[in-house]
Amino acid sequence: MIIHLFIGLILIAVASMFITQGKRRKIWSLLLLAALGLVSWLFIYNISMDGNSSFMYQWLPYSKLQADFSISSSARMHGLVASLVWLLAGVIILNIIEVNESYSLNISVLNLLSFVAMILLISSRDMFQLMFASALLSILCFYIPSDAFSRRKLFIYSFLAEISCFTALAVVYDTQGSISLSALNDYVSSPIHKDFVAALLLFSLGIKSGLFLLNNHYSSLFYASMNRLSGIFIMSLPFSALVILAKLSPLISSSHLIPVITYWLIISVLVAGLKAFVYSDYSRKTINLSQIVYCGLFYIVFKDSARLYTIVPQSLMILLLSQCLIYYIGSVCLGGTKKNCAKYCVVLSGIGAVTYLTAVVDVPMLLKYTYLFIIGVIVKQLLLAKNDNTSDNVTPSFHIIYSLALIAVSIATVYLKLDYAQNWNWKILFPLILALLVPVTLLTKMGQLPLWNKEITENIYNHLIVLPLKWFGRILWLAFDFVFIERGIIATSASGEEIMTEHLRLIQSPSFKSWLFWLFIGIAGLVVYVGVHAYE
Amino acid sequence: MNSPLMMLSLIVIIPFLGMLFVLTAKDDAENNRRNSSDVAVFSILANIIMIWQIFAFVKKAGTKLHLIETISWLKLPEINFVLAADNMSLLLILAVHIIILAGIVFVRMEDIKQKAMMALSLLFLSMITGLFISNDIFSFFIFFEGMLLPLYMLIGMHGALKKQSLLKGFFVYNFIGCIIFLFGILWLYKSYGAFTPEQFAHLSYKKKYVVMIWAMFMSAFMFRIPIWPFHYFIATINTKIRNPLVFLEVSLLSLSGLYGLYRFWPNYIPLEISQHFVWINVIGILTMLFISLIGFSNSDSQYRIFAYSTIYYIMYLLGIFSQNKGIYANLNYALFGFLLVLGGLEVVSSYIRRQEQLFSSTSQGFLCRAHRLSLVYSFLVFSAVGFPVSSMFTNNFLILSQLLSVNIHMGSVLVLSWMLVSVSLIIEMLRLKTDAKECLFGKSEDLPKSYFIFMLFIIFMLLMSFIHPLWFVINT
Repeated sequence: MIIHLFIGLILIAVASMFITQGKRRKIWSLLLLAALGLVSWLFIYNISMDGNSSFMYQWLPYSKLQADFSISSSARMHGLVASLVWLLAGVIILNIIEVNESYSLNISVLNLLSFVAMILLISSRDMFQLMFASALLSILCFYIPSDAFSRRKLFIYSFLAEISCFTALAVVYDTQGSISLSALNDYVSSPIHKDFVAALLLFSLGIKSGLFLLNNHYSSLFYASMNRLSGIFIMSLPFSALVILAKLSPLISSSHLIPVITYWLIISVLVAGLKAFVYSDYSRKTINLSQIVYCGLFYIVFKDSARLYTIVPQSLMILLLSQCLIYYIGSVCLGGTKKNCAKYCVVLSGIGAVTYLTAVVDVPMLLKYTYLFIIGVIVKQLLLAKNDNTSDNVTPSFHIIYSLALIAVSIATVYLKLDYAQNWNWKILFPLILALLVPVTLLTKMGQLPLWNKEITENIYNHLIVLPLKWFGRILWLAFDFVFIERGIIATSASGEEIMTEHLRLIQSPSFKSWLFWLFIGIAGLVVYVGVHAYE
Repeated sequence: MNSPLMMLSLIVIIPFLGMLFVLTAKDDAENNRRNSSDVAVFSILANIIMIWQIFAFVKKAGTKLHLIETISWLKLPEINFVLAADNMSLLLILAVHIIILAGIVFVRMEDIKQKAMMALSLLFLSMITGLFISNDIFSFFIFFEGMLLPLYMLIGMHGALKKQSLLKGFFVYNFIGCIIFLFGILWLYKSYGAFTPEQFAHLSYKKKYVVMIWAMFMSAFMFRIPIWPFHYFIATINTKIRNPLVFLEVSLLSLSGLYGLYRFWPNYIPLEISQHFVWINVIGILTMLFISLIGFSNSDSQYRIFAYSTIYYIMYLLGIFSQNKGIYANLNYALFGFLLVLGGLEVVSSYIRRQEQLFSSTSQGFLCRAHRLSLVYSFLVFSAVGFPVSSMFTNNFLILSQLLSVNIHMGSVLVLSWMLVSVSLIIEMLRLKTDAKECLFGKSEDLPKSYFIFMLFIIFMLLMSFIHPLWFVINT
């Protein structure tokens, strides 16, 4: 039963709080893993016996609400929950085998509780449980960053997301008279304030997913995480956005904001991709890469919410495990042994290939080519790491073989799918550019090959990509941030507020006589008004 | 149903008796501090137990007042003290007792003369308890105005007001409200005698007098609520008070106005009046926005808590004016949770300010090693901003959904104000939790264990009220 998994995880998390960080960290982590394995085996065993698992408890006694605390797992949810369980186990394994880091056990506890909140979110059947689980995730993620500034940004953004979702659901509740999510279709049939509700929900989901303009809180999160592993679990926030989107998609689909979503996602992917390309810092690259993937998953779930239980678990697992490995590659390969590097590279390549195939086979074009980008940037970063460290590097031949294979696959993806192969129009340029960027990226950094002069290549790269981006960024900053926001909105409201408060200060004079005068004017006015109306 | 053992009168008398005991306590410096606060705490605890017992006699459903007690006072004119209770009044009384108890507990640490403060606080408690269980207009009026006397004295002694003219203005301001109210009562008494709130709802009078009567009653209650233009003195005085107990008691003044509007709401409102309710909504919303903006930009934690309480009071006021049955049904639970959160936040903030003064340093990063205080403060802030850890979440949801249905634009501005004031509380919490380069405060500056246990009790009440609002009621 899923309730066993739920309670078991809570008990494990509570027990973990009493474990101190010490010499026996690995033993305790192994025990943690064993306990997790036991409860997840019980869950999977019961699922395979019964198919469905459900637990309901009448939670809030308000007669009108009839809110039931529900934890359920159907056959389709089983895959999602099971994937998350394996992912959690994988993360704990990495926590065990890696070098002792600060707060590693505490982070594991937070991860467990995040997973508990995720189960609540996935199995929610009413608005209250949905909001409860979402808020719980936000509160847990608050404790992950160690940097105060990052923590402040994350929490305030999360709070704004929760408030928006709360307000939207309050509007819907009043119309449909029920907090049940299955009654959303009743609201959709006669929607009141549908665009307002959809806008609020999109704002909330945009913050959680880290879409363009609403991802300021993500940029330094990874960098400021207490522990490398914790950065990965901050990604539970975007995943919670996917779950909420799946549950509340009727509210958005009935509005006029659907084109906004599509364009917003495209812009988010482009900006995140460019950032991943431009930034040399590991953590920022990873954040932006994951944002690309989440944009793709967002689109998929928005189009068909049932896909949450099929494509999302696999993508999520691949994404998060690859991010784990990126992090560990960054530290191990920079100062580690050739054997470990090779091992990690092979695993990463395998993951990349699987991801690639998934991208080619059954997802929209957008997601396909974003995966291209991801692989290209990962490998680029891998090569960067190799070149920065001259000792104990993987042999150059591995690079050449790998990069050539990637080039071949890049070109193949453009032509394998026959949709665009026959028609030459502007749409085919986008994937071509992406596909070509991969080998260009690789080859510019491979100084060993005689094909390109390093200086010329770097100059081309600088003039074609870096400088235009800088100019574009400056234009955006000047036009939008400085002129529109700073001078237009902030300065205007500041000067307006100054004028208003100055006048209000004069009106609200602390002089007792002045106050008495205005009070009697008001009473006189009231008496006259009442007198006129009373005797009409 | 009549009250057995005159229990309602007892819960009014017990704090009053406590006040007399405090007044007769020894005036020795050391004993004074211990005896007077001990007597106050004992009186309040005894009253809480009595209130808990009374809950068992009051039926859960319905808003009808039960346990009617009549104490005859004057024969000519015939004026009696009539007391009655329902879940709404008992929940408010319980919440008020808990927060005043919290205030007294935290004030014990202060190095000030406490005898007068305890005596006046107990008198205030007695008056406000009587207010919530009054079932007769004259009883209501006596307690409504009687609670002002201890309040003025407390503000005068511990309000830290630099200008006494503020207090005079505050007095005149409330006095005018009192005169208007009395005039309205006497006008109605002439025709209908001493009426109960239920009778007031059904009173019918000449059309030309309806507006006047309505205006008198409404303005008397609105004078207590910090809504423009009545907000000036309340805001000025509240924000200057640094004593947590006095701050909480002054905050309860707005509650008395809200309660009056809730109890004395007529069934029929003439069109000449109801068509102007939109102006009250507009003024209320603008006041909320204004106060929330000031609270957001002000770095004083006391102002932020005041802004928070103002936003909620006005929200409940708008809820009453919407005449929505859903809001009315949830108002008691909402106010209960709100009062506990307000009380907890104020006493904890005052403790932090006190430590700030003792160490003559900023409180930034104060919670870096004060884990008990950090836990309590974080929970209270999470409750205050509406996270689903207390009944505030559920009640805010229900009330907000009704207000949004009344007018979506008004509701949006309300949400914006609420959001601003919540963000200001969050910023304050994050400032205290910021990792300072040097953690000046050690574990010794953390909340003492006994105080921590008391705050855990408040947290427990909030958590349990989320799951079951009347979980502590024993059914007879």
